[in-house]
Amino acid sequence: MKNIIRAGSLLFIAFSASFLTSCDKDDDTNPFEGLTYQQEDQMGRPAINTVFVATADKDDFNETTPSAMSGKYATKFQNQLMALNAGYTTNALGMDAATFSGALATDVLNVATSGTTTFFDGINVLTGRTLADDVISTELLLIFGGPDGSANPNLTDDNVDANDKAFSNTFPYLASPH
Amino acid sequence: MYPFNLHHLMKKPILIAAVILLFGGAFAIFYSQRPIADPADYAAFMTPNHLENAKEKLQERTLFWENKLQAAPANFVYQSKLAGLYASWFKLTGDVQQLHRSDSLLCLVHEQMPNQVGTLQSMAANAITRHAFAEAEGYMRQALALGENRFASSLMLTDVLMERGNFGDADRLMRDMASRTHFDYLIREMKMLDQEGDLPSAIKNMEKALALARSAGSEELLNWSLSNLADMYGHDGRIRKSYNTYLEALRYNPADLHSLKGIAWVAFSQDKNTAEAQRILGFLQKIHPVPDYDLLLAEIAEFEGKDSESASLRQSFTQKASNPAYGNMYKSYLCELKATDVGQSTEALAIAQQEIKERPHPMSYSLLAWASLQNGEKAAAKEILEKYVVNRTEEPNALYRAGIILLRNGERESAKEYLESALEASYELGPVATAEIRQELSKL
Repeated sequence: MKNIIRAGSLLFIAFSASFLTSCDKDDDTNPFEGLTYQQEDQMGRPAINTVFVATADKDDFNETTPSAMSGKYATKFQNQLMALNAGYTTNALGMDAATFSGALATDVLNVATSGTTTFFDGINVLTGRTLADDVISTELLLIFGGPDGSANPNLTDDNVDANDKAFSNTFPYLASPH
Repeated sequence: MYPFNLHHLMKKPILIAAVILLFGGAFAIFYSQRPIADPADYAAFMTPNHLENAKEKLQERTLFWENKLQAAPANFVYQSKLAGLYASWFKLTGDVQQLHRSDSLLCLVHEQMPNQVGTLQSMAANAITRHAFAEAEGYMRQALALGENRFASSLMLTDVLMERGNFGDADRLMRDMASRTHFDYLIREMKMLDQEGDLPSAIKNMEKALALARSAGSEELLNWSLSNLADMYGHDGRIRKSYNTYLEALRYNPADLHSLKGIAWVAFSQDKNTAEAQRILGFLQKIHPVPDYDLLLAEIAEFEGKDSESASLRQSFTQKASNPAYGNMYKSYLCELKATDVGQSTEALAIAQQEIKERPHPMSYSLLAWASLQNGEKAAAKEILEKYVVNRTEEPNALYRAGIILLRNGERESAKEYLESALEASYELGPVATAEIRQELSKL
């Protein structure tokens, strides 16, 4: 009678990719020797990559240098924009579909080095972003709101006007998990 | 007068050398025969507190998301988070119902939002845990076709393909991957090398992965890497190194029951210290109620010549492991037990045939051949062996079974070769199998 249990036979389970993005030691200044680093993800404006990039393009988009994004993805973004809002003409920024798509496809967060920092405060547009900025509503307004922001009123507001817990005054300024 | 006698001086080094050799030799013999597992080394880990602490931490996270889900019962983000946590509960406590809870939640998420790569990967991970490899392959092929996060999907599909004996496709997938120095890639390459029987290279790969884990400083990764490496040193017969590596693994995760089980195996297979092995396993069984420990305890009882105790432990294992909630998880062990139990070999054959459908790995065919032999079909056993097992796996258990099957078919020369190869992995096979192999070999 033999009941052989290999001590290690049950441990070789599939390893999730959760370690791909782990960075436990941000003070590690000496990258491991012989290691090749590879770009795996990037995000500029909230939700834009999520909504405008097709699943099959995700890996490629995440590896594309921002300066090449517009050239490579503007057309696809425009198709997606027109699929979302077939009646799109221009938006509150006066951008037509091609201009707006080209701007969106360069998925970076612009920051003005002087003046007010905001995603959109009624006057300043995309000079950065603060935690309390209603970014999703701003994006919805630009996609669905038409030239004066009054079109498709049911689609231009996510109806979430504030975080459900106050932000902190100290770094990292986010609310604690709740 | 010379201040010293030259002749005397010439003789002295020889004498010193002789003394060193003598003591060194005695020490080497003493050292090699000295038991490896020393309870003082791991006493700190033989307490339920570590597992309790781990449970508390997991409970905190679980409650956090459960409260969220209660407030918004249809939220798929909360459902996905909880699915992952319930799967962790299963891994921590062995409570298989938690795995099914995890699956149910993932099904809900999948129904609401089909074609999500992350959900498919989680579903595949659970299916792999349930040893439902055909199901897992379906999810991973779907995820890979969708295209997002291709690297992780390719790695998981590689896992499944290897389990399903499809080494060609697994190899092709590996060749297509770009990140060849990535931890997750290295451990797959290690598995492939191990499968090919190149244990030294597999160990080198695992050591490279460990170095990455050290550089990342993640305790979870370090524990996982060390625990695996300890297993591999054991397979390589480097038992002291294996033992020390388990101890190091435990320092990074004191609730690492796998490493404690590894130490129990050192105490049993190497030291023949059955009492100590039983003490560790008894402790594990108390805090972690899974069927596995009964099987190991049965083997120890058999080694001690306590046949009726061994039989009742086997029965206890069979009863627990046959719980339908476990699905396929224990099928190969059940098959192996039933193959040699009187009156159950037909059932063993049926299980082996099922197992082939789910997991057409050379090891499953080895089991099918074994069950066929025990069922009196020695020619069929040899045919399966030659067609699906020989040169496809170097697992010691497969070599052992191959030896016996060939022997029963009258092929004494090749039988001897296989049994001798199996004997090289005597530590891994354990004292009971080793004694059986020695006995068979003595007749050849």
